[in-house]
Parts: sequence; structure tokens; C-alpha cells
Amino acid sequence: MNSLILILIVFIGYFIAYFTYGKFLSRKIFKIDVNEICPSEEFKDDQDYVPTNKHILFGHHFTSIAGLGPIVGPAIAIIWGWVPAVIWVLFGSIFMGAVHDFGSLVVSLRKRGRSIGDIAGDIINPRVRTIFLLIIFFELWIVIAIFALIIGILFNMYPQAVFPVWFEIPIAIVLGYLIYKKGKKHTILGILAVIVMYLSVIAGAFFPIKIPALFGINPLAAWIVILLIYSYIASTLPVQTLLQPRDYINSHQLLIAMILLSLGTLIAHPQIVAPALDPNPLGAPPILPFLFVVIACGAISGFHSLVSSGTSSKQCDNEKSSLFIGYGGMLGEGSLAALVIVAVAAGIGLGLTTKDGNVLTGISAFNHQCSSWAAASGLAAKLAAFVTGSANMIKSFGIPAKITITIMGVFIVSFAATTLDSATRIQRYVVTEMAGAWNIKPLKKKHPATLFAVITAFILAFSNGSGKGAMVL
Amino acid sequence: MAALALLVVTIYLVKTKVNPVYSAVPSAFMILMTGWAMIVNLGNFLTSENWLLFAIGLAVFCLEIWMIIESSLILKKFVKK
Repeated sequence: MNSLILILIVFIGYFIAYFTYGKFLSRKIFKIDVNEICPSEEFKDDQDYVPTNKHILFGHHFTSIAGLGPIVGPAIAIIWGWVPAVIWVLFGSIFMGAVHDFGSLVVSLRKRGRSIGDIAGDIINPRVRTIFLLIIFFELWIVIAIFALIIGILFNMYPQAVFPVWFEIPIAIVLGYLIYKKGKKHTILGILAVIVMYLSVIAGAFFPIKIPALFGINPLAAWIVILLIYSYIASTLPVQTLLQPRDYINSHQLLIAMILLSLGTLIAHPQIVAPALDPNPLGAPPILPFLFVVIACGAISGFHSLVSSGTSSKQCDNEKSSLFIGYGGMLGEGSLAALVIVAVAAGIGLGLTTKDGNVLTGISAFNHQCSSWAAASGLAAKLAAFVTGSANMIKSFGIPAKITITIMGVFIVSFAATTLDSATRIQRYVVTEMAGAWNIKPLKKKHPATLFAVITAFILAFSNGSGKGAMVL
Repeated sequence: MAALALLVVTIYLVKTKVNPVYSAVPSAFMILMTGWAMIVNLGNFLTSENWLLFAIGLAVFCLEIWMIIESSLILKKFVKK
């Protein structure tokens, strides 16, 4: 099958779903009321509760839920064949993931912007709130430690991404200042910020940065410490200072990466070389039920309910925006997952250079990358499959592979960083909600709660002395 | 966790007297699939004697079952009404 047809089917499917099933859920099931006052207005504090333009909030929501999940999940699951992966990404997103994200957002909007775990206390009973908050705390604890590690690994893998990723912070702060303090229009400024960002990407391609060992700790461990300090600072700043403008830039970055991939699919339109179905690949667990667990973020993921009912519900300006943000955000993520499937199932067949310098094409290239579960499931292998497939398709319209690889490296790291500081901020909300439920006064405050979130993640990361402690889980 | 969040949404819809089938079916599907995967994983952790993962997996699995039971009791009460 040609990859172009596959992408068209998925994109048209999502488009129809948004205007039919999404609108139906909005009108008939969740009964969206444009006159309802949202928590962002009712509890406005210019810190966490901030009424936000729906396009800016979409940027935050989309980039927070997108993380690395829609890249790594489909890149692994393709080992069972591209057909089950595409079916799950298409229908799972429309009928499950988007309902989950939209539903969590609406329920939180009507329950003072609280987390889905805390709301369970009202809707079910206080015991369930305790259980759910513990499960959420546990998940975020692992997410923060893992993402600090992953970003550290990515900085070592793509040193050309280090400069643009850190340079994005001052760009975002200036953007936020001009929009919120000076009242400038976000559209033109957003485009200008993205242009500056891409100039820094080009600069990064020529000036890769590798940090040395600091005070006797290796570069990976040093990155983890730096990133945890960063996540503390980023998650305690008012959302409009860094989180919103940075995610607004990232959403443009995501859009550009998706346009480049779509153009690559259109111009190169490679044939899919991966098998349609392979229920028993070497060393892999059974397709049922693991397909539905391995592809989480590209179809349905519980982490999204934490974003919907954590940061997004506190910034949503009107219930009417919730369809676009909750339902639309998930379909956007499904589109990204579909593009990843095309990059790995088809793009990689355009050419893969092995470690010994041989160039493989077609099914040989795919088999080399995904020959067994063990070969396909390491982080480096998953990302390499996506980056190689993407670079193959994008170079079909003249962008050099060196620049493409930097663009994809920055894209991957930026999203991982967004997930890291959104997860830290949400963990702070969860800690304060638990402290409220159990009446632990010191942890009800912003800084002690954030410190608790970061220190527990630090302890997990360094529980084995290397920064990779969370990998044990 | 997606299954549990959908469970909360389902109970919210039941309480607001709206047809909950659009969130209940995905919730049931995800409870089944993730529960099945967790049981397979727990078996693997047990046979490979990976006690840390087994203990953590079992603890989370028990918490999830507890929450599902509590939620089912609430649902049953509302359906009866």
C-alpha cells in the first residue's frame, strides 16, 4: 500500500470524526454551555488560573499530551504489523482517547478545575479519591524521573539540539512578556518566535554542545540534576511567564514537523515495506492485549486526563473551547502517531545505513531496524527508526539530512521537556490536593509541594546511584 | 489510569442523568486490556523473581481493583434508583 493513501484515510477520518462524533458528544452528552463561568475566571490568580486564548491553550495542551508517547509507542507496536497499529490509532483516538481527554476536561471545568483524582472523592467517595490520588502520584513520580533521564540521554544523542532547546526559554519569556504585559497580538509574534527558534536550530546543527563531567558526576547524571532544578523553577513560575509561550512555540514546531512529514509523504509517497500483520514476532509479547498498552499516547493515555484536569482546565476560557482543546488535541496526537507509523513502516525503506556502512532499502531496511523485539524496543532504536524514516522522506524536497536530523532532535527534546515541567506542575497540584485531604499543612503551599515532587523524583532517579533508577520500574 | 479516569467520567454522566455508554464502553475495554496485560506482566515478574516489580505491580493492581469495586457499587446504587 502507498503511504500517501494511508495518511489521507487517517486525516479524513479524524476530520469527519471531529465534526460528527465530537460535536455530538459536545451537544448531547456533555451539554456544553457557553454561559457557564469557567474556573479560570472564577478563581483567576494570574499564577495557575489564567483565562487563556483557545489557540494558545491548545498549544500547551497538545504539546503536554504529545510528549514522546506518540513517537515511541507506534514505533514499537509496528513490530506486530502496520495494520493493527493504524486501526488502533485511528479508532482508538476517535472513540476512546478523545472522549477520555474531552470528558476529563469538561468534568474538571465543572468541578472548580480540580484533578480527576480529587473529583473522584466527590463523585464516588473519599476512599476512592485517596486510592486514585496515590495511583496518580505514583505514575507522575515515575514520569518525572524517567523524563529527566530521557532528556539527558537525548542531549547526549543529539548534542546539536542542546543550544536551540535552552535558547527557546528566553525566546518564550520575551514572547510571554510582549503578549501579556504589552498586549501585543500573539499570531505575528508567535511566527517571529518560531523563526528565531529555527535560526537557533540551524546554529545548533553547526555548534553541538556536549557537557563534561561536573564535580565528579558523569554528563548524563549532571543533565538529570540540571533538568530537575529547571523543572522546579519552570513549574513554580506563573503559567503565562514560561509554560504558555514556550508551549505555543512548541505547538508551531509540532505543526511544522507534521507539515514537513506530510509533505515528505506527499512528494516521496513511499510504499509501505513493513508487514501488514505479524502476530508472532521474535521475542515479542502477544499482540493481545499488549498492542493496546504499547500504543497509549497515540490512541488513549491516562496521562492526558492529568493534563486535561490539571493545567488545561485551570486555563480554559470557556466551555465552548473544550471540544477543540480536549477532543481536537487528541485527534492531533493521533495524526502525529499515524505519521510516525508511515515514517517507520515506509520512510525507512527509502534507505538505511548500517553501522558497517552498507545501505539497505525496502523490507531489508525495515527488518534490520525491527528484526526482533529486543532490537526494536530500546529508546535509541525507536527514535532512530523515526528520525531515519522522517529524514528520508523530508530530504525528498531538498532539506539536507543534517538539518532534518537537528529539527527532529529539537522537536523530540522540546516535547519531552514540555512533558517534564507539566508533569512537575501537575504533581504539585496532586501533592497539595493530598495534603488538603489529609490535612498536612506545610505541603498545601506551592514551594514545599513542588520541592516534595522534585526531591522524590530525584531520590527515585538516583536510587541506584546512576540517575537511571526509574528504569528499574 | 485512562480506564479509571473514564470510570469517573462515566459515574459523572450517570449522576447527571445522561447516557453513559460513550465513556462506559471505552472504560470497560481499557479495564479489560490493561488488567489482562498487568496479569501477564505479574506472571513474568514472578517467574523471573523480579520481586520489586512484582510488589509494585501487585500494589497498583490491587488499588485499581479496589477502585473499580467501589465505583461499581456506586453505579449499582444509581442504576437501582
